[in-house]
Amino acid sequence: MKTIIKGKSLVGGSTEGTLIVSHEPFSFFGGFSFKTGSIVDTRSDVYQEVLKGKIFAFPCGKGSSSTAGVLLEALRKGIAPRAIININSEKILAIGSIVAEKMYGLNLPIISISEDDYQLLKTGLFLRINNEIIEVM
Amino acid sequence: MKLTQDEQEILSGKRGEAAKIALEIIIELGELYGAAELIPVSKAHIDGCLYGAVGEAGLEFAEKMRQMGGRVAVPTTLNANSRDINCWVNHRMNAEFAEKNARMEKAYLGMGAIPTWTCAPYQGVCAPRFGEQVAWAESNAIVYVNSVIGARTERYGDYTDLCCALTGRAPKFGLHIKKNRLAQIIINCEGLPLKSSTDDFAVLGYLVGKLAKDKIPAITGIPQWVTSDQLKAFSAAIASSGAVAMFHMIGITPEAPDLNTISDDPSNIETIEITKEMYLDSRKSLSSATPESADAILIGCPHASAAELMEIADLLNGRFIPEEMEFWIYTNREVYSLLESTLIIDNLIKSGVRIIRDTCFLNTDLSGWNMKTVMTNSAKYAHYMKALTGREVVFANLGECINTALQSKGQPRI
Repeated sequence: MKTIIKGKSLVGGSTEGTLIVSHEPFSFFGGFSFKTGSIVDTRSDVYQEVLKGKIFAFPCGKGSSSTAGVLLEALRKGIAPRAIININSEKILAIGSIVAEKMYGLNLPIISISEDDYQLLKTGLFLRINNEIIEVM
Repeated sequence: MKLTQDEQEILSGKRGEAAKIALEIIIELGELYGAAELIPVSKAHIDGCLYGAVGEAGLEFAEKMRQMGGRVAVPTTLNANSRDINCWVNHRMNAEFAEKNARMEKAYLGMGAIPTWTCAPYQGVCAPRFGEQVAWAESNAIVYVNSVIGARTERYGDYTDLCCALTGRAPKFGLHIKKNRLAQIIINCEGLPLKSSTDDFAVLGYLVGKLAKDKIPAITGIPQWVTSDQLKAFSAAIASSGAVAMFHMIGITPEAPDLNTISDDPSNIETIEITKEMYLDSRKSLSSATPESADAILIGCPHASAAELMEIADLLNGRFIPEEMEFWIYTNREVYSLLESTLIIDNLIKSGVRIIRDTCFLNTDLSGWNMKTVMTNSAKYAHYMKALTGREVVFANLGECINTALQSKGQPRI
């Protein structure tokens, strides 16, 4: 039976993909390389994961304000995740998605969900996202 | 969103295409986070000019905004970029990478920004005043300006910074509003024997950032003698391990004379006491290698102040650093020119120190260098070193950095 999670859509859009879940605050700057497309923070619980084509969940942001820049470059190069799920989505993250839409017409949905719903997320699950609705297949 | 006549005019395109797009982006961001209106800001600090951090997309964004006639509406300072503008050749930088930087510099200067090229703008002549509404990016600068100066900015990222600069507006949300600046967690460090040394405050900041995550911490037990450079080290560290945009230090920072001023009910806020053990664990977590393996010393993240350069010159006292050890200090033009009139810069160079302006070890091209393990007194450097440069790191105090350098092998450079 599939589970439905209703979140708050920060940046809307529809997509689907396999989930990668981190349980630690994450910074795209120093956390993800737009040269390799993978997680480079050795302290991260999703170290070395490749994000292209995936849906990436991490509870909240941290670190540098260059996260927006790293995210935009990843989107431009086509190596960004398909969507981002957080408990608290930072403004630094949202701006990367907003500017990508304006500059390149690219859509990166960002959804925030409750702490309880976040516990339902597991790496490897397949998700279908439609604005604020997440279907766990 | 409710817009003023002035803002409607920007949105209609009467002030140019760049300002129009910039305002559209700010409105969209504001609406996402529930802002009902915009507020004027009187300064901006741009982080998006770091080519090494943001790559081609960041360059395209800056050049596009400039081509569309973008012009900053308020005094706008620039963060470190990705090369020492005068000495990049000497610094063995790839010419193509340097050329991209040059384009980035041209784009931002062309829009009227001030060539400060520093990640510590709060220590320079363009620092805002208490209560001033500003739009700042660069995580360490955001924390410092909110907390130590008491100016008001949200935790802005690349591109929001320029959009605010081009329009002189920011969404009325978050830390621009006084009631959102109250403490959300209390961190008690009264039991810690803090020394008057930047590394002690870097370690503390790194730990507080981890504990506070994205909350505003109120820190108690900070001694009155804490210096601007120590608060700088603290700010950079807290914004590396956490998503902290401001802190209060009771009796130190201007909005926090006591706990009751920064909280409606201090007894109801989560309180964490920092033990000596937690503090030592935090220090340990910043190193990935042993001191003996260090083949370079790095100081200046955030950019070293005049006081810090003078302290290093004092400690070196004319002694030579052997040629098998690199000793680099990153600083800005303002500090450098201040000290150029003295013998301090000369003496440091004669000792074998490389003084680098404008840029940052984490965001530049290092292909001409093969150091494997760097020793630093900066928690921010230590935090990002492995992921961004592939190098190992040893966190140490300034005295250890200098002793390690002087005791290394090889002949004096000169």
